Amino acid sequence: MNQKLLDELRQAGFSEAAMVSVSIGQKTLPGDTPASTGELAIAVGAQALSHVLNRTMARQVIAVMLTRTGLDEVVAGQPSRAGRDIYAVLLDQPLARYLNLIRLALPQRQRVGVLFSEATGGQLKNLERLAAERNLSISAAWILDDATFILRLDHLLSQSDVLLALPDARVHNRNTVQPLLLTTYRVGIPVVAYSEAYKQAGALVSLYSTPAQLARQVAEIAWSLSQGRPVMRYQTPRDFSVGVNDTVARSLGLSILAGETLRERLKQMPD
Amino acid sequence: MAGKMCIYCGLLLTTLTASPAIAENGSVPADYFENLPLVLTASRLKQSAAEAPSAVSVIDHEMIVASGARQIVDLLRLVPGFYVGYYRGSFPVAAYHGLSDAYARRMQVLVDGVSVYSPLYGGVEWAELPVFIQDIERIEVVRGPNAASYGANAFLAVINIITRDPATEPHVQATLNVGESGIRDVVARVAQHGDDWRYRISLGQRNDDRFTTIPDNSRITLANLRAHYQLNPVDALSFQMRASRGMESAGYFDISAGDVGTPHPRDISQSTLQMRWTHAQSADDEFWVQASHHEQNPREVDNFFLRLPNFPPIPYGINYNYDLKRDDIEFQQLHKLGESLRMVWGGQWRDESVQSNAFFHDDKLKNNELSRLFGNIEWHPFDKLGVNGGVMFERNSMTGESFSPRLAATYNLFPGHTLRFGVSRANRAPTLFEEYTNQTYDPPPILAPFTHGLPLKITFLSSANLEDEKILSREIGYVMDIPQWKFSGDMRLFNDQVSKLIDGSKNRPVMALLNNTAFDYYNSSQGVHEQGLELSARWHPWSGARIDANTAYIRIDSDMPDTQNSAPAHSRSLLFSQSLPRDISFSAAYYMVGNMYWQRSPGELPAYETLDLRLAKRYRWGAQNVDVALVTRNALGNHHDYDMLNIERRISFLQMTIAY
Repeated sequence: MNQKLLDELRQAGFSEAAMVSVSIGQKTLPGDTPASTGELAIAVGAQALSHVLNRTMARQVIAVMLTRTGLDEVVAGQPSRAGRDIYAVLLDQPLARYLNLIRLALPQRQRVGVLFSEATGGQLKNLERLAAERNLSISAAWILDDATFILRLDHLLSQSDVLLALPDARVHNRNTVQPLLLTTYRVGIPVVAYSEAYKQAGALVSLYSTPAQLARQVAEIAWSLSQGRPVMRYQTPRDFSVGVNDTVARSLGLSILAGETLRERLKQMPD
Repeated sequence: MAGKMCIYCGLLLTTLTASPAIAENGSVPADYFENLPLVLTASRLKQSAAEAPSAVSVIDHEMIVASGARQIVDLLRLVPGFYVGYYRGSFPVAAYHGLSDAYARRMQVLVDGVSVYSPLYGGVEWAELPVFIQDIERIEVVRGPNAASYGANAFLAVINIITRDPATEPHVQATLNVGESGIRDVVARVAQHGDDWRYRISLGQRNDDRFTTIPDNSRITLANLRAHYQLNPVDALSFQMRASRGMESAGYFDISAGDVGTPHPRDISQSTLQMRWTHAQSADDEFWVQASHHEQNPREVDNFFLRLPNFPPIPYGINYNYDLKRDDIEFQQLHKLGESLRMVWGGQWRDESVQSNAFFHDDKLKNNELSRLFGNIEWHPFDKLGVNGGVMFERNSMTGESFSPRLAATYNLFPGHTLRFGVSRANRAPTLFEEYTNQTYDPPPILAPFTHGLPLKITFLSSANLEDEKILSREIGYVMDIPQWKFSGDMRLFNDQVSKLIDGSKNRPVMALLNNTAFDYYNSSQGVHEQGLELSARWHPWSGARIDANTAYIRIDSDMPDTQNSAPAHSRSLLFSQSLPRDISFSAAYYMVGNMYWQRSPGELPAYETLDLRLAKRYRWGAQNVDVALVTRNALGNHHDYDMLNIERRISFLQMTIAY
């Protein structure tokens, strides 16, 4: 991510000399001291944001590579946020975009199953409204602990034609990807997910923004701020990719439009 | 411009790479930063019916539950052309396209990729197979030969039993079956999983007493462990251990006490270990290597009194003991060579040996060592056309080298309608029993001075040097999949020419006190010609309902005795299930098997119809499920099974399952 971001910033006209890369987690490399007193900081990931808010005086912060939930958690736990302007390019795609993708890729499937945790459950009302506008219905299941994951998933799948995986680390993680993909495959229910890795692991189709796409948006915010233009604080990714797992599609006997075609058509649709 | 900006912005890039801390704090989905394990890879995926080079029937978990079956073998009745008979309660046999006695020797059967085909008799000892029906993910049945992928014995069909991944299991599940006919089954299954590992342990016991007319009560204990370890996103290790122990009754009631065949116990014992390393670069690029070891040591002695003229009854025992071992190493590599070209190739080495004084009349190890190499290519020269070609080169120590090719083409007429043409060759190697059997009964020591070195009796004596059986199979298939109607179906027209069939007759002259001809095996010079039609359909007609219907017709032409009617000309099955409000579900399974003859059985089996019913209710407490089901088997009343002595009765049992 950082290389992509640097490339994009460079292209946007930020000189190399001014960029100081601070690597991994909360540790800052010795070379970054002068920069950390600068006015604009870009934080890649939730921990980095926390670090920037805690340890630097940057007045403007652009956060990227984190979800809205992650952002809220970091910001809520940081008293030092006062007086800072925090901007963010979130990982969360607009919910409508996911639903549009389901309509485009799987027009026959109308019952959408979604797993929520307490952290993401707040999206349900909004999702239901957006789904109703698109002739889709939402079934929700709540994942409260790992122990009952399978039984709750089984029950949800009995009421769903497609499973929508929304970014939520409590629901979707290395521990749950195996049971989720194997169980949905067993009952022939395709998974629409949010990352390339999920698609490669076995989701039918994924909607995600690549680091390059996110970096471009970050660079544009940085540029606008430098010009003193107004910038929307929390932004969903503007550009995105759609990946289709052809092997899984073939095995499920589904004929799906190519990822690039889906992306083009999605771009025509309002989020 | 850039210079101006730099004065303005001090840039701080605080970067993160794959950091587990992020996943733990829960704010960011982990897979943004690290690779997830590849879950749905080629070896786990089923080929869609429209693209498969042969007719494949899939029995899925929903069907397994709806069928009410307690035993795996009964599920095969849901495959067109398949029929199941019970030679005795704990000795079922599933056959397809006839040519079968109590051992269906012409089908390959695999459990998670490892063959469970008996090298001694051929076929599978279904009742003692250490696999729980609850552990099954699905059964894929390839109808027609598939030696190009599976090698010898994939002759008439291939049955792939695929067990459920522990990751998809509830933590604890316990099942209890209690009912008529001595049904007392208990199964406990425990599954656990963490980030990189997962396992399941299943333990249970099955008790029943199927037929009242013969002694066939059985008590079989099964144990099964399946464990996985994900080394990294692309490498995984898996391990399985299966074992069964138990007792079943054999013999007959209507034989006077002390005579041969009076009721006696048979002890069951078998164990299997299998390990696999999978390296999956992507869904279409996968390599695996597996090794397995299998042992089987049944013990059965039929004790009786020899009654000879001018002698008092002499105690004598015939044992049917054997010790069987199998070691197997196999690898497979799947490649995607291009958008329209995929390839799989692999190799295998296997050694199977049996030691049995009872069957070979010596203590020497009889073995068959096999090595094979195969390759298969799937090519889509253009969108509508698929071509699938494969070859298997095989060498075994009994019959030498063989070569089995297969070619199939699928043509997509219009969306949802596909035509398939296929031609393939396969062979079946003789079993160790057919090749080496020598069932010679020596006189008891007390008689030795009077027998002049002659044995008491010789029942089986193989001339050996058998050759492989051969089959040339041609088929035309038609596959339909109409999602908007929720309907899919397939049709298969087949035309099979079988030659060098291994047959036997009691015509070998022998010198023994009590007989002068023994049963011998030879390759028949008569061919067998099988042709017919199989239809199957799956339909979800309305909400919560599902119908799986099959019908099959076969005609067997041959001058060989007992082959023409060795399969029912007509057979049908229909599984209907309906889920109802309040977590109630109902299912009915109907089967019709035309009249037929199980080879070497006492007589022809009349046609029969049978109906199994299941009514179930699920109770939920939070995330806990309790399922209670009542299953009635043979609801239409009695019918004969396998032969006229075995009478299937209407019986019911209650099934309770708790899962959390």
